[in-house]
Amino acid sequence: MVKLTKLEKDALNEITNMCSFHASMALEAITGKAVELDIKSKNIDSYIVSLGERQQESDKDPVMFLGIYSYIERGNIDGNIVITFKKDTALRLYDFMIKKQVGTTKLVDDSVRNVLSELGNMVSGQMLGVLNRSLGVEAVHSVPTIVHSFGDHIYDYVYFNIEDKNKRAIIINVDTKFKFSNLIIDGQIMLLLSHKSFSSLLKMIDKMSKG
Amino acid sequence: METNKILEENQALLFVISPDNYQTFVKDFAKNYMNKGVSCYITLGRPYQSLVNNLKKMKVDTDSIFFIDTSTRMASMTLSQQDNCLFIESPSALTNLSIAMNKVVETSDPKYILFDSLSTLMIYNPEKVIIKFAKDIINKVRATNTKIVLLCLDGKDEVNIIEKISMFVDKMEHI
Repeated sequence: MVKLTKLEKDALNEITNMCSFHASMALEAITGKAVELDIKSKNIDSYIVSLGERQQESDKDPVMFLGIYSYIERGNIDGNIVITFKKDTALRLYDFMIKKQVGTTKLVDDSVRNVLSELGNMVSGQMLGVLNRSLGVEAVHSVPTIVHSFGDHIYDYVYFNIEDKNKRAIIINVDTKFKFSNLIIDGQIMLLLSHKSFSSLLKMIDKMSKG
Repeated sequence: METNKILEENQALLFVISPDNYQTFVKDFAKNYMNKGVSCYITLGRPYQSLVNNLKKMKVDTDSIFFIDTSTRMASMTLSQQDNCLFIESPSALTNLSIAMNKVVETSDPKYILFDSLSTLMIYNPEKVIIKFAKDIINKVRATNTKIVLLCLDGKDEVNIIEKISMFVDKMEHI
């Protein structure tokens, strides 16, 4: 089992916090509305998973989820970024973003895909930007696509195309609650880094702490 | 009535499953019925690779299952070719989905087709389109020896579609 030092844990939590803050800034930029971000410390989690054992069921609600999926296609780390919302929440967010009456959109059509994909683009970009500025990580994400799944199967996309089945990886996982004036959007932002990338990240954190 | 007896006596079935029972039902069905002869698993909500990994863990012989997957291509443009899977671009590509299903029925004569699920179709398609699609695939299966099992979540959004599709199947069962 990989054990993190207190410094590494603190650094990862700080990075996670900054990622959430920048995600809310991305939402503000897209919607043009003030966004209040509510993250309690218990909702911030950076944890190690074993890819070979990961099929453990979680306690995620047995409902339909939409995910905005992208992978890191260039740079010195590799992994996946998935932003998930319950389907109805995602559609409410879409309505809000295009200034439609919230709750009227029921189907995921091309317009929904495009708008949510743009949101994913900005949030993923901001997230990798934090890693870049704080740790010197160089990473560019792919164009986000919209995926869906029932319950915790949405995690299939977090682990998508990660071949390192017997090694360990890290998921930086943020439960978010974005509050607009009359709308609360609960979601999750997950960044999975492969074992190799995770080791590189820890080295960067150690280097940062020393220098 | 027991699932065994229902499957024995009917060719087109609609299982309406409460969200809490959904994952268990799918696992049990795959383990108990898709292990016997050739079957077809149409997966709309879960990528082929993770589904196969999961089934293998449950000791299900996935070599005798033909998969039709509408999820993987949504996330990845590059796919490794699989002998036992057809990848469709999305759950809204219903014509391609129907063609793929016909192809599997004609070439493999599967004992069961598990359609997982109508609820996922509802994310991308209007109700009337889904109802027409369901009617079409049920009719096509009726000309063969294959049994089709349609899954649908028991939710308030699904009430109308369940009511309509129940008219085309031989038996509807709530789980």
